[in-house]
Amino acid sequence: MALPGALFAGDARRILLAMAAHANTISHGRLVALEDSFTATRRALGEAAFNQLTRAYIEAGLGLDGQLNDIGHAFPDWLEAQGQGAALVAIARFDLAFLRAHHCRDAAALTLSDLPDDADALMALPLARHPAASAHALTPILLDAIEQPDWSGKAAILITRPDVAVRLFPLGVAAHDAWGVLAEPVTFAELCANLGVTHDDAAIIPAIIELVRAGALQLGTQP
Amino acid sequence: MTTLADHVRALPPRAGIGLKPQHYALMLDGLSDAVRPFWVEIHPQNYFRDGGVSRHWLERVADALPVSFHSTGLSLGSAGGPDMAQLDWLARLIDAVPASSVSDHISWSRTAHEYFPDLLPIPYIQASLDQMAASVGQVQDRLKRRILVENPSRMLAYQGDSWEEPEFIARLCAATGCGLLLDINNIVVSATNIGIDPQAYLDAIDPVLVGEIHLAGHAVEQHDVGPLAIDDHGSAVGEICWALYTDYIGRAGPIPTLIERDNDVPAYDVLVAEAQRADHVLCATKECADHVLTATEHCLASAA
Repeated sequence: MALPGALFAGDARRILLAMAAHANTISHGRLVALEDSFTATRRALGEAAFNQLTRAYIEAGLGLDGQLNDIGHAFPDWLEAQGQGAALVAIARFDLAFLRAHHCRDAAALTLSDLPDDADALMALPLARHPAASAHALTPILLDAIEQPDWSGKAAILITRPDVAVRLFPLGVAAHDAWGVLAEPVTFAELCANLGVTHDDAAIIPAIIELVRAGALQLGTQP
Repeated sequence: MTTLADHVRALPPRAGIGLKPQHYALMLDGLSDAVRPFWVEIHPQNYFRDGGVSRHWLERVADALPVSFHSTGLSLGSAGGPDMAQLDWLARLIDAVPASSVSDHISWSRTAHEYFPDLLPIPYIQASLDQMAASVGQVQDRLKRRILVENPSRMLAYQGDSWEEPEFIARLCAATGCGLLLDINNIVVSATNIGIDPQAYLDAIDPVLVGEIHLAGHAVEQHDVGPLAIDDHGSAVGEICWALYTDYIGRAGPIPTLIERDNDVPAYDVLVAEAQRADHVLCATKECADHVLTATEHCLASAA
Protein backbone atom coordinates (compact mmCIF):
# COMPACT_ATOMS: atom_id res chain seq x y z
CA MET A 1 0.00 0.00 0.00
CA ALA A 2 1.47 3.37 -1.03
CA LEU A 3 1.19 6.28 1.37
CA PRO A 4 -0.24 9.56 0.03
CA GLY A 5 2.92 11.44 -0.87
CA ALA A 6 4.56 13.50 1.85
CA LEU A 7 1.35 14.12 3.78
CA PHE A 8 2.20 12.67 7.16
CA ALA A 9 5.30 12.99 9.27
CA GLY A 10 7.25 10.09 10.65
CA ASP A 11 8.08 6.48 9.91
CA ALA A 12 5.96 4.93 7.13
CA ARG A 13 5.21 1.84 9.20
CA ARG A 14 3.89 3.93 12.09
CA ILE A 15 1.83 6.01 9.68
CA LEU A 16 0.22 2.85 8.31
CA LEU A 17 -0.35 1.56 11.83
CA ALA A 18 -2.11 4.79 12.80
CA MET A 19 -4.24 4.80 9.63
CA ALA A 20 -5.25 1.20 10.32
CA ALA A 21 -6.20 2.17 13.87
CA HIS A 22 -8.38 5.03 12.61
CA ALA A 23 -9.99 2.71 10.04
CA ASN A 24 -10.69 0.17 12.76
CA THR A 25 -12.29 2.81 14.99
CA ILE A 26 -14.54 3.93 12.15
CA SER A 27 -15.52 0.40 11.15
CA HIS A 28 -16.12 -0.67 14.73
CA GLY A 29 -18.27 2.39 15.41
CA ARG A 30 -20.48 1.67 12.40
CA LEU A 31 -20.87 -2.05 13.11
CA VAL A 32 -21.70 -1.50 16.78
CA ALA A 33 -24.28 1.14 15.82
CA LEU A 34 -25.97 -1.41 13.55
CA GLU A 35 -25.84 -4.08 16.29
CA ASP A 36 -27.48 -1.67 18.73
CA SER A 37 -30.12 -0.65 16.16
CA PHE A 38 -31.15 -4.15 15.01
CA THR A 39 -31.18 -6.35 18.13
CA ALA A 40 -34.13 -8.57 17.06
CA THR A 41 -32.65 -9.02 13.58
CA ARG A 42 -29.31 -10.03 15.09
CA ARG A 43 -31.05 -12.50 17.38
CA ALA A 44 -32.96 -14.02 14.46
CA LEU A 45 -29.91 -14.34 12.21
CA GLY A 46 -27.26 -15.21 14.72
CA GLU A 47 -24.14 -13.13 15.25
CA ALA A 48 -22.03 -14.47 12.36
CA ALA A 49 -24.70 -14.05 9.67
CA PHE A 50 -25.70 -10.64 11.04
CA ASN A 51 -22.08 -9.43 11.02
CA GLN A 52 -21.65 -10.64 7.43
CA LEU A 53 -24.72 -8.72 6.28
CA THR A 54 -23.91 -5.52 8.17
CA ARG A 55 -20.37 -5.51 6.78
CA ALA A 56 -21.80 -5.93 3.27
CA TYR A 57 -24.29 -3.12 3.90
CA ILE A 58 -21.51 -0.76 4.99
CA GLU A 59 -19.29 -1.80 2.09
CA ALA A 60 -22.17 -0.98 -0.22
CA GLY A 61 -21.79 2.60 1.05
CA LEU A 62 -25.23 2.78 2.65
CA GLY A 63 -26.11 4.79 5.75
CA LEU A 64 -22.71 6.47 5.79
CA ASP A 65 -23.83 10.03 5.13
CA GLY A 66 -25.66 10.63 8.40
CA GLN A 67 -24.82 10.22 12.05
CA LEU A 68 -24.48 6.79 13.66
CA ASN A 69 -27.95 6.81 15.18
CA ASP A 70 -29.39 6.84 11.66
CA ILE A 71 -26.94 4.44 10.00
CA GLY A 72 -29.55 1.73 9.65
CA HIS A 73 -32.28 3.74 7.92
CA ALA A 74 -31.74 1.89 4.63
CA PHE A 75 -30.94 -1.55 6.11
CA PRO A 76 -34.42 -3.16 5.79
CA ASP A 77 -34.81 -2.00 2.18
CA TRP A 78 -31.30 -3.22 1.40
CA LEU A 79 -32.07 -6.64 2.94
CA GLU A 80 -35.16 -6.85 0.73
CA ALA A 81 -33.16 -5.89 -2.36
CA GLN A 82 -30.63 -8.57 -1.46
CA GLY A 83 -33.42 -11.19 -1.47
CA GLN A 84 -33.07 -11.97 2.23
CA GLY A 85 -36.70 -13.06 2.58
CA ALA A 86 -39.86 -11.32 3.71
CA ALA A 87 -39.71 -12.66 7.27
CA LEU A 88 -36.24 -11.28 7.98
CA VAL A 89 -37.02 -7.98 6.28
CA ALA A 90 -40.11 -7.67 8.50
CA ILE A 91 -37.98 -8.14 11.62
CA ALA A 92 -35.56 -5.47 10.44
CA ARG A 93 -38.48 -3.10 9.81
CA PHE A 94 -39.72 -3.89 13.32
CA ASP A 95 -36.30 -2.99 14.76
CA LEU A 96 -36.22 0.27 12.82
CA ALA A 97 -39.74 1.15 13.96
CA PHE A 98 -38.74 0.45 17.58
CA LEU A 99 -35.77 2.80 17.20
CA ARG A 100 -37.91 5.49 15.61
CA ALA A 101 -40.43 5.17 18.43
CA HIS A 102 -37.55 5.93 20.84
CA HIS A 103 -36.56 9.02 18.89
CA CYS A 104 -40.04 10.25 18.13
CA ARG A 105 -41.37 13.54 19.43
CA ASP A 106 -43.44 13.44 22.58
CA ALA A 107 -47.18 13.52 21.88
CA ALA A 108 -50.20 13.07 24.12
CA ALA A 109 -51.84 9.69 23.57
CA LEU A 110 -55.61 9.30 23.68
CA THR A 111 -56.72 7.71 26.95
CA LEU A 112 -59.98 6.13 28.02
CA SER A 113 -60.79 9.20 30.08
CA ASP A 114 -60.60 11.30 26.89
CA LEU A 115 -63.54 9.41 25.35
CA PRO A 116 -66.73 11.50 25.70
CA ASP A 117 -69.69 10.11 27.66
CA ASP A 118 -72.09 11.65 25.17
CA ALA A 119 -72.76 9.16 22.34
CA ASP A 120 -72.94 11.82 19.61
CA ALA A 121 -69.71 13.40 20.76
CA LEU A 122 -68.05 9.99 20.86
CA MET A 123 -69.10 9.13 17.32
CA ALA A 124 -67.81 12.47 16.05
CA LEU A 125 -64.47 12.12 17.86
CA PRO A 126 -61.60 12.40 15.34
CA LEU A 127 -58.97 9.69 15.74
CA ALA A 128 -55.44 9.33 14.37
CA ARG A 129 -52.42 7.14 14.90
CA HIS A 130 -49.98 8.29 17.60
CA PRO A 131 -46.74 9.40 15.86
CA ALA A 132 -44.60 6.86 17.74
CA ALA A 133 -46.91 3.89 17.12
CA SER A 134 -46.60 1.18 14.49
CA ALA A 135 -47.97 -2.35 14.02
CA HIS A 136 -46.14 -5.38 12.65
CA ALA A 137 -47.58 -8.72 11.56
CA LEU A 138 -46.63 -11.32 14.15
CA THR A 139 -44.79 -14.16 12.42
CA PRO A 140 -43.18 -17.11 14.24
CA ILE A 141 -39.70 -15.80 13.43
CA LEU A 142 -40.55 -12.34 14.83
CA LEU A 143 -42.09 -13.94 17.90
CA ASP A 144 -38.82 -15.84 18.51
CA ALA A 145 -36.72 -12.76 17.84
CA ILE A 146 -38.56 -10.60 20.39
CA GLU A 147 -38.69 -13.49 22.87
CA GLN A 148 -42.43 -13.30 23.63
CA PRO A 149 -43.68 -16.91 23.13
CA ASP A 150 -46.93 -16.20 25.04
CA TRP A 151 -48.05 -13.96 22.19
CA SER A 152 -48.42 -16.70 19.61
CA GLY A 153 -51.94 -16.67 18.20
CA LYS A 154 -52.06 -12.89 18.08
CA ALA A 155 -52.28 -11.08 14.76
CA ALA A 156 -49.70 -8.36 15.22
CA ILE A 157 -47.38 -6.62 17.61
CA LEU A 158 -47.88 -2.95 18.35
CA ILE A 159 -45.02 -0.58 19.20
CA THR A 160 -46.14 2.49 21.14
CA ARG A 161 -44.62 5.26 23.17
CA PRO A 162 -47.45 7.13 24.91
CA ASP A 163 -45.07 8.51 27.56
CA VAL A 164 -41.30 8.14 28.03
CA ALA A 165 -40.81 4.40 27.50
CA VAL A 166 -41.32 2.34 24.34
CA ARG A 167 -43.83 -0.49 24.86
CA LEU A 168 -44.85 -3.62 22.97
CA PHE A 169 -48.39 -5.00 22.88
CA PRO A 170 -49.85 -8.03 21.13
CA LEU A 171 -52.85 -7.18 18.97
CA GLY A 172 -55.88 -9.30 18.20
CA VAL A 173 -57.27 -9.54 14.68
CA ALA A 174 -59.98 -6.90 15.12
CA ALA A 175 -57.59 -4.42 16.78
CA HIS A 176 -55.09 -5.01 13.97
CA ASP A 177 -57.79 -4.33 11.42
CA ALA A 178 -58.76 -1.16 13.30
CA TRP A 179 -55.14 -0.05 13.11
CA GLY A 180 -55.27 -0.61 9.35
CA VAL A 181 -58.35 1.61 9.02
CA LEU A 182 -56.49 4.35 10.92
CA ALA A 183 -53.89 4.68 8.15
CA GLU A 184 -55.81 7.88 7.52
CA PRO A 185 -57.50 9.87 10.31
CA VAL A 186 -61.17 8.91 10.76
CA THR A 187 -63.91 9.60 13.22
CA PHE A 188 -64.93 7.06 15.84
CA ALA A 189 -68.11 6.42 13.84
CA GLU A 190 -66.21 5.83 10.60
CA LEU A 191 -63.88 3.42 12.36
CA CYS A 192 -66.80 1.44 13.76
CA ALA A 193 -68.48 1.35 10.36
CA ASN A 194 -65.34 0.06 8.67
CA LEU A 195 -64.76 -2.63 11.27
CA GLY A 196 -68.42 -3.64 11.10
CA VAL A 197 -67.92 -4.86 7.53
CA THR A 198 -65.71 -7.77 8.66
CA HIS A 199 -66.30 -8.10 12.40
CA ASP A 200 -69.26 -8.77 14.70
CA ASP A 201 -70.61 -5.74 16.53
CA ALA A 202 -69.42 -7.24 19.84
CA ALA A 203 -65.81 -7.14 18.69
CA ILE A 204 -65.69 -3.51 17.52
CA ILE A 205 -65.53 -1.49 20.72
CA PRO A 206 -63.09 -3.89 22.46
CA ALA A 207 -60.80 -3.63 19.43
CA ILE A 208 -60.75 0.16 19.65
CA ILE A 209 -60.29 0.06 23.42
CA GLU A 210 -57.32 -2.28 22.90
CA LEU A 211 -55.61 0.40 20.81
CA VAL A 212 -56.48 3.18 23.24
CA ARG A 213 -55.14 1.23 26.23
CA ALA A 214 -51.88 0.59 24.34
CA GLY A 215 -51.38 4.32 23.75
CA ALA A 216 -51.54 3.88 19.99
CA LEU A 217 -53.96 6.69 19.21
CA GLN A 218 -54.14 10.43 19.50
CA LEU A 219 -56.90 12.91 19.01
CA GLY A 220 -57.21 13.71 15.32
CA THR A 221 -57.73 17.20 13.98
CA GLN A 222 -61.29 18.41 13.71
CA PRO A 223 -62.54 18.56 10.08
CA MET B 1 -23.15 42.03 25.57
CA THR B 2 -25.28 39.84 27.77
CA THR B 3 -26.02 36.49 26.17
CA LEU B 4 -28.32 33.69 27.08
CA ALA B 5 -25.34 31.78 28.41
CA ASP B 6 -24.76 34.49 31.00
CA HIS B 7 -27.96 33.47 32.75
CA VAL B 8 -27.14 29.76 32.93
CA ARG B 9 -25.32 28.21 35.86
CA ALA B 10 -21.57 28.18 35.24
CA LEU B 11 -19.63 24.97 35.73
CA PRO B 12 -18.18 25.06 39.23
CA PRO B 13 -14.39 24.62 39.52
CA ARG B 14 -14.96 21.12 40.91
CA ALA B 15 -15.01 17.59 39.55
CA GLY B 16 -17.71 16.19 37.31
CA ILE B 17 -18.48 12.90 35.57
CA GLY B 18 -20.15 11.83 32.37
CA LEU B 19 -23.89 11.23 32.55
CA LYS B 20 -24.54 7.57 31.65
CA PRO B 21 -27.97 5.91 31.31
CA GLN B 22 -27.08 3.21 33.82
CA HIS B 23 -26.39 5.91 36.42
CA TYR B 24 -29.38 8.21 35.87
CA ALA B 25 -31.32 7.20 38.99
CA LEU B 26 -28.23 6.74 41.18
CA MET B 27 -27.03 10.21 40.35
CA LEU B 28 -30.31 11.87 41.25
CA ASP B 29 -30.67 9.78 44.39
CA GLY B 30 -27.14 10.62 45.51
CA LEU B 31 -27.12 14.40 45.21
CA SER B 32 -27.25 14.92 48.95
CA ASP B 33 -24.38 12.52 49.55
CA ALA B 34 -21.13 13.89 50.91
CA VAL B 35 -19.23 12.52 47.92
CA ARG B 36 -20.87 13.35 44.61
CA PRO B 37 -20.16 14.95 41.25
CA PHE B 38 -20.67 18.70 41.11
CA TRP B 39 -21.60 18.74 37.44
CA VAL B 40 -22.12 16.31 34.58
CA GLU B 41 -21.15 16.06 30.94
CA ILE B 42 -23.25 14.73 28.11
CA HIS B 43 -22.54 14.01 24.48
CA PRO B 44 -25.48 16.00 23.10
CA GLN B 45 -25.66 13.75 20.01
CA ASN B 46 -27.13 11.08 22.31
CA TYR B 47 -30.05 13.41 23.02
CA PHE B 48 -30.80 14.65 19.50
CA ARG B 49 -34.38 13.45 19.59
CA ASP B 50 -37.67 15.12 20.22
CA GLY B 51 -38.68 13.09 23.24
CA GLY B 52 -38.30 9.78 25.02
CA VAL B 53 -36.63 8.27 28.05
CA SER B 54 -33.19 9.80 27.67
CA ARG B 55 -34.53 13.34 27.21
CA HIS B 56 -36.75 12.83 30.24
CA TRP B 57 -33.77 11.89 32.42
CA LEU B 58 -31.57 14.64 31.00
CA GLU B 59 -34.17 17.26 31.88
CA ARG B 60 -34.41 15.94 35.44
CA VAL B 61 -30.62 15.91 35.86
CA ALA B 62 -30.30 19.38 34.35
CA ASP B 63 -32.74 20.68 36.96
CA ALA B 64 -30.37 19.44 39.67
CA LEU B 65 -26.84 19.89 38.28
CA PRO B 66 -24.93 22.05 35.80
CA VAL B 67 -24.51 20.20 32.50
CA SER B 68 -21.62 20.50 30.05
CA PHE B 69 -22.53 19.71 26.43
CA HIS B 70 -19.49 18.00 24.88
CA SER B 71 -20.36 17.62 21.20
CA THR B 72 -18.62 15.13 18.94
CA GLY B 73 -20.38 15.79 15.67
CA LEU B 74 -19.87 19.39 14.52
CA SER B 75 -16.74 18.48 12.55
CA LEU B 76 -15.27 21.94 13.05
CA GLY B 77 -12.19 21.07 10.99
CA SER B 78 -14.04 20.01 7.84
CA ALA B 79 -13.15 21.99 4.74
CA GLY B 80 -16.85 22.47 4.04
CA GLY B 81 -17.57 24.03 7.41
CA PRO B 82 -19.42 22.63 10.42
CA ASP B 83 -22.16 20.04 10.09
CA MET B 84 -25.22 22.29 9.92
CA ALA B 85 -27.72 19.53 10.73
CA GLN B 86 -25.77 18.78 13.89
CA LEU B 87 -25.56 22.48 14.72
CA ASP B 88 -29.31 22.86 14.32
CA TRP B 89 -29.96 19.91 16.64
CA LEU B 90 -27.47 21.30 19.17
CA ALA B 91 -29.17 24.69 19.13
CA ARG B 92 -32.58 23.04 19.63
CA LEU B 93 -31.30 21.00 22.56
CA ILE B 94 -29.72 24.04 24.21
CA ASP B 95 -33.05 25.88 23.85
CA ALA B 96 -34.72 23.05 25.79
CA VAL B 97 -32.01 22.12 28.32
CA PRO B 98 -29.61 24.71 29.82
CA ALA B 99 -25.96 24.10 28.95
CA SER B 100 -23.34 25.44 31.31
CA SER B 101 -20.61 24.82 28.75
CA VAL B 102 -20.55 23.80 25.09
CA SER B 103 -17.55 22.24 23.38
CA ASP B 104 -16.41 20.22 20.39
CA HIS B 105 -13.04 19.22 18.93
CA ILE B 106 -10.10 20.42 16.90
CA SER B 107 -10.66 17.68 14.34
CA TRP B 108 -12.81 16.68 11.39
CA SER B 109 -15.29 13.85 10.99
CA ARG B 110 -17.16 14.37 7.75
CA THR B 111 -16.90 15.17 4.09
CA ALA B 112 -19.81 16.28 1.92
CA HIS B 113 -21.06 12.70 1.56
CA GLU B 114 -19.72 10.64 4.43
CA TYR B 115 -19.56 10.77 8.20
CA PHE B 116 -16.66 9.03 9.95
CA PRO B 117 -17.26 8.07 13.61
CA ASP B 118 -13.81 9.22 14.65
CA LEU B 119 -12.02 12.50 15.38
CA LEU B 120 -9.49 12.87 12.57
CA PRO B 121 -6.48 15.21 12.73
CA ILE B 122 -6.05 18.49 10.88
CA PRO B 123 -2.74 20.07 9.82
CA TYR B 124 -1.64 23.13 11.76
CA ILE B 125 -1.30 25.53 8.87
CA GLN B 126 -2.87 28.87 7.99
CA ALA B 127 -5.60 27.34 5.80
CA SER B 128 -6.74 25.07 8.63
CA LEU B 129 -6.63 27.91 11.11
CA ASP B 130 -8.77 30.06 8.82
CA GLN B 131 -11.24 27.22 8.27
CA MET B 132 -11.47 26.32 11.97
CA ALA B 133 -11.85 29.98 12.92
CA ALA B 134 -14.69 30.42 10.43
CA SER B 135 -16.43 27.28 11.70
CA VAL B 136 -16.03 28.22 15.36
CA GLY B 137 -17.32 31.69 14.57
CA GLN B 138 -20.33 30.23 12.79
CA VAL B 139 -21.11 27.96 15.74
CA GLN B 140 -20.69 30.72 18.32
CA ASP B 141 -22.92 33.04 16.31
CA ARG B 142 -25.62 30.38 15.98
CA LEU B 143 -25.52 29.36 19.65
CA LYS B 144 -25.00 32.95 20.87
CA ARG B 145 -22.25 31.87 23.22
CA ARG B 146 -18.56 31.19 23.51
CA ILE B 147 -17.62 27.55 22.98
CA LEU B 148 -14.60 25.51 23.99
CA VAL B 149 -12.53 23.46 21.55
CA GLU B 150 -10.76 20.35 22.74
CA ASN B 151 -7.14 19.52 21.91
CA PRO B 152 -7.10 16.23 19.99
CA SER B 153 -5.44 12.94 20.73
CA ARG B 154 -3.31 12.17 17.71
CA MET B 155 -1.90 9.07 16.10
CA LEU B 156 -0.76 11.04 13.06
CA ALA B 157 1.07 14.30 12.54
CA TYR B 158 1.25 16.19 9.27
CA GLN B 159 4.44 17.17 7.49
CA GLY B 160 4.90 20.86 7.03
CA ASP B 161 2.89 22.07 10.04
CA SER B 162 3.48 25.78 10.54
CA TRP B 163 2.97 25.60 14.29
CA GLU B 164 3.04 23.26 17.22
CA GLU B 165 -0.40 22.43 18.53
CA PRO B 166 -0.38 24.84 21.53
CA GLU B 167 0.47 27.72 19.18
CA PHE B 168 -2.34 26.73 16.82
CA ILE B 169 -4.75 26.63 19.75
CA ALA B 170 -3.63 30.05 20.99
CA ARG B 171 -4.09 31.55 17.52
CA LEU B 172 -7.54 29.95 17.17
CA CYS B 173 -8.67 31.28 20.55
CA ALA B 174 -7.32 34.75 19.73
CA ALA B 175 -9.09 34.78 16.37
CA THR B 176 -12.49 33.64 17.66
CA GLY B 177 -12.72 34.29 21.40
CA CYS B 178 -13.32 30.60 21.98
CA GLY B 179 -11.74 28.79 24.90
CA LEU B 180 -9.93 25.51 25.32
CA LEU B 181 -11.15 22.25 26.75
CA LEU B 182 -7.78 20.92 27.87
CA ASP B 183 -7.68 17.13 27.66
CA ILE B 184 -4.55 16.05 29.50
CA ASN B 185 -4.96 12.37 28.58
CA ASN B 186 -4.95 13.40 24.91
CA ILE B 187 -1.57 15.05 25.45
CA VAL B 188 -0.21 11.81 26.97
CA VAL B 189 -1.65 9.80 24.02
CA SER B 190 -0.11 12.17 21.49
CA ALA B 191 3.21 12.01 23.35
CA THR B 192 3.27 8.21 22.95
CA ASN B 193 2.21 8.29 19.30
CA ILE B 194 3.95 11.30 17.74
CA GLY B 195 6.58 12.19 20.30
CA ILE B 196 5.41 15.54 21.66
CA ASP B 197 6.71 16.70 25.05
CA PRO B 198 3.72 16.75 27.43
CA GLN B 199 5.29 19.08 29.97
CA ALA B 200 6.39 21.57 27.32
CA TYR B 201 2.91 21.37 25.82
CA LEU B 202 1.23 22.21 29.13
CA ASP B 203 3.74 24.94 29.88
CA ALA B 204 2.66 26.58 26.61
CA ILE B 205 -1.08 26.53 27.45
CA ASP B 206 -2.24 29.80 28.99
CA PRO B 207 -4.65 28.93 31.82
CA VAL B 208 -6.77 31.95 30.91
CA LEU B 209 -7.91 30.04 27.82
CA VAL B 210 -8.88 26.86 29.70
CA GLY B 211 -12.57 26.55 30.51
CA GLU B 212 -12.61 22.88 31.33
CA ILE B 213 -10.22 19.96 31.80
CA HIS B 214 -10.70 16.32 30.84
CA LEU B 215 -8.91 13.43 32.51
CA ALA B 216 -9.19 9.91 31.12
CA GLY B 217 -7.44 6.60 30.62
CA HIS B 218 -6.28 5.02 27.39
CA ALA B 219 -5.16 1.67 26.02
CA VAL B 220 -1.67 0.90 24.71
CA GLU B 221 -0.99 -1.67 22.00
CA GLN B 222 2.51 -3.02 21.59
CA HIS B 223 3.74 -3.29 18.00
CA ASP B 224 7.09 -3.97 16.30
CA VAL B 225 7.31 -0.26 15.52
CA GLY B 226 6.64 0.71 19.12
CA PRO B 227 3.61 1.34 21.31
CA LEU B 228 0.41 2.81 19.93
CA ALA B 229 -1.82 4.62 22.41
CA ILE B 230 -5.54 4.35 21.69
CA ASP B 231 -7.73 7.06 23.22
CA ASP B 232 -10.55 4.73 24.18
CA HIS B 233 -11.68 6.31 27.49
CA GLY B 234 -11.96 2.78 28.69
CA SER B 235 -9.93 2.75 31.88
CA ALA B 236 -9.09 4.73 34.98
CA VAL B 237 -7.00 7.89 34.67
CA GLY B 238 -3.30 6.99 34.50
CA GLU B 239 -0.75 8.23 37.00
CA ILE B 240 1.18 10.25 34.39
CA CYS B 241 -2.05 12.09 33.63
CA TRP B 242 -2.68 12.69 37.34
CA ALA B 243 0.84 14.07 37.82
CA LEU B 244 0.56 16.45 34.86
CA TYR B 245 -2.88 17.54 36.02
CA THR B 246 -1.80 18.17 39.61
CA ASP B 247 1.13 20.26 38.41
CA TYR B 248 -1.03 22.25 36.00
CA ILE B 249 -3.73 22.98 38.58
CA GLY B 250 -1.04 24.04 41.02
CA ARG B 251 -0.05 26.76 38.54
CA ALA B 252 -3.43 27.53 36.99
CA GLY B 253 -5.78 27.34 39.95
CA PRO B 254 -9.02 25.35 40.05
CA ILE B 255 -10.72 24.59 36.72
CA PRO B 256 -13.85 22.42 36.22
CA THR B 257 -12.50 18.91 35.69
CA LEU B 258 -14.23 15.89 34.16
CA ILE B 259 -13.39 12.25 34.72
CA GLU B 260 -14.06 10.99 31.19
CA ARG B 261 -15.13 7.37 30.82
CA ASP B 262 -17.04 6.17 27.73
CA ASN B 263 -16.16 2.47 27.51
CA ASP B 264 -16.20 -0.26 30.16
CA VAL B 265 -18.03 2.23 32.34
CA PRO B 266 -17.58 1.18 35.98
CA ALA B 267 -20.07 1.34 38.81
CA TYR B 268 -21.26 4.79 39.76
CA ASP B 269 -19.42 4.85 43.09
CA VAL B 270 -16.14 4.00 41.32
CA LEU B 271 -16.52 6.96 38.97
CA VAL B 272 -17.47 9.26 41.80
CA ALA B 273 -14.43 8.13 43.80
CA GLU B 274 -12.18 8.96 40.86
CA ALA B 275 -13.83 12.37 40.59
CA GLN B 276 -13.18 12.88 44.27
CA ARG B 277 -9.44 12.49 43.63
CA ALA B 278 -9.64 15.35 41.15
CA ASP B 279 -11.69 17.33 43.66
CA HIS B 280 -8.94 16.94 46.26
CA VAL B 281 -6.42 18.38 43.79
CA LEU B 282 -8.73 21.30 43.02
CA CYS B 283 -9.44 21.98 46.68
CA ALA B 284 -5.75 21.98 47.56
CA THR B 285 -5.18 25.15 45.54
CA LYS B 286 -4.59 28.55 47.09
CA GLU B 287 -7.65 29.91 45.25
CA CYS B 288 -9.86 27.25 46.82
CA ALA B 289 -8.42 27.91 50.29
CA ASP B 290 -8.85 31.67 49.92
CA HIS B 291 -12.44 31.40 48.71
CA VAL B 292 -15.07 31.91 51.40
CA LEU B 293 -17.23 28.84 51.03
CA THR B 294 -20.62 28.10 52.45
CA ALA B 295 -21.02 24.99 54.57
CA THR B 296 -22.39 23.03 51.64
CA GLU B 297 -19.56 24.05 49.34
CA HIS B 298 -16.63 23.58 51.68
CA CYS B 299 -14.19 21.01 50.34
CA LEU B 300 -13.84 19.31 53.70
CA ALA B 301 -17.61 18.88 53.82
CA SER B 302 -17.37 16.79 50.65
CA ALA B 303 -14.59 14.51 51.88
CA ALA B 304 -15.60 10.97 52.73
